[in-house]
Amino acid sequence: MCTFAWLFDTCMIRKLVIILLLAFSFVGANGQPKQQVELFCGADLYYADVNFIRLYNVLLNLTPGVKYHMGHDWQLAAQAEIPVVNEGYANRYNMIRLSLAAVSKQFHFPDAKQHFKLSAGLFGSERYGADLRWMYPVNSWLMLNARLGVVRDWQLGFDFDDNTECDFGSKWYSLALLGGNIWLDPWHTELRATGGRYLGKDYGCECEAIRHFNHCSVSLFFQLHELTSSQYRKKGHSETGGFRLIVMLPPYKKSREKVVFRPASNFNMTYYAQSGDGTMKKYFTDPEENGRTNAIDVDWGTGKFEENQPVAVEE
Amino acid sequence: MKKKLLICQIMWLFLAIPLYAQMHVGMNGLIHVPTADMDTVGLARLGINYVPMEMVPDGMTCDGEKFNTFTHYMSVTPFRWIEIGYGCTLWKFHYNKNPKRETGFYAKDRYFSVKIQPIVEDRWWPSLVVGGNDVYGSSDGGESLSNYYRNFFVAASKHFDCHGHILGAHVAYRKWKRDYNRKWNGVVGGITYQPSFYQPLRAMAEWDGNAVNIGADCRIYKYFLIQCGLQGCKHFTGGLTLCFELL
Repeated sequence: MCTFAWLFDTCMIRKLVIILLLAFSFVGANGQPKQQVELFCGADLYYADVNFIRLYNVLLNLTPGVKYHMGHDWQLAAQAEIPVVNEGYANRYNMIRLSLAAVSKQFHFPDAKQHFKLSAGLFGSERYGADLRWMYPVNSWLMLNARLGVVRDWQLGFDFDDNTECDFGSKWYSLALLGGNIWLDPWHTELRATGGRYLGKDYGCECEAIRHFNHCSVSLFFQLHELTSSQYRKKGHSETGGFRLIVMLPPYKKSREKVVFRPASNFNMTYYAQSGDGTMKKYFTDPEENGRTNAIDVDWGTGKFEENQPVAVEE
Repeated sequence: MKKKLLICQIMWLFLAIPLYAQMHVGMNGLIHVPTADMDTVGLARLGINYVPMEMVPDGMTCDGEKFNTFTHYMSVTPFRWIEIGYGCTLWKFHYNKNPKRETGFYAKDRYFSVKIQPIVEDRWWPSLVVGGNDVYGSSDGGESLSNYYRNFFVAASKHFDCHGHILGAHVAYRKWKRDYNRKWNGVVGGITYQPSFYQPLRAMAEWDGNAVNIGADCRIYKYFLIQCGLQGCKHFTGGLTLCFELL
């Protein structure tokens, strides 16, 4: 009975995603198809101060990726992780991994100021499923946004010592977030507040103040979150703070060529004063997702920056 | 042609913008004393510094003994009136906390610093800042067990132009949280001198509440700031900072 129930749920969700994709593909699309392939490579740096054996545990991965802009706001993206340095992280991180393979479609309803992005596939942070985002720029200084996701775990990797990892979990996780952004134009400063339910079934909220410079953003954030049941610490609430640093990498202006080779668009780093230990977990649906660029191409806030203008491909 | 190149190189060396630092924590200041000077908006620093044991809080020991160490840090001035920094002091420990194993820099103490400037210096008024180091700490109990560097201060700075030479007077009142740092409590301050022929160079002398320190710092090649000093006029301290404009 339980098996059938699970099957029913899975099929229903799959059907729902497919129907949504098909239905939305005929509405909200604007402009002529402008196709472009972007091949890029960046680096992921993880570090943790958790022991007295070394100053930091360090994990450095190269992250080559590809984005195929198919036109009509469709995008296909994939990214791999190639380990370069692993000092202190688990051996499984020595594997070459597929870190993301997802399709996404944006829907813009400019008259109603409604913007959506629907993504499906294998997401970053080892989750797969479907994700829907919404942005509503109320006016020049206020934007509301929300995010809804249903995902499962996945891992896919191999190394040259015949070790492999191929696991697709069966347990569903949901993400539901609601937030608001305030743009203070004279100072290129943004205030954000987001809250909701995260992947660990924990509730939390986050406030962030971001100062946007020419090609760099610096932010301070504060998080108040529920402790998840998986933690060894007693249940209750905890808070943490930290900073984010997002550096956009050249070339800052998007190319009009149909095939583009470039470095990753950004390097970003987040520092937590106190480890959340698995709280407020999210995933990313775009290989170059960062806190400076709007998740949907909306002409609001940093969306007005030259580096975030949509690609205009030569026909 | 070679002459032009040489002149260009010398010009590049002298293309220096005034910028100064209390470099062991990565914030604007003297050597061990904060000042009310602020960086320009959008300036970020990334650097390392050598710190003699005399400038290390007494609570930071290895086998009961203090040690010379290094700090690394980053800081940014997002607005004219605020500077925020994050720094780490390397800490000697036994490998894996095993007393039988060798000692080395296997741990660090981390801290946030902040400075807020409500009053800007003008012809008559000195600039005024309030700020602190190690201002935020947390642990399981909500109260940090470390806070080795925690101190709060009010500082004022005033500069005088004497025929192109710039004299600076800096005074601060500082209060440290930990009792073992009480020797640095109270009124501290210093004087600075920038010669008219090369103002990026700044010589300084300061009283940090316990000792007189002397030193100099200088920004060179636009992106670098170096500082050298003698703590208590005896023990070397110094470092190198990479500076870049984000605006």
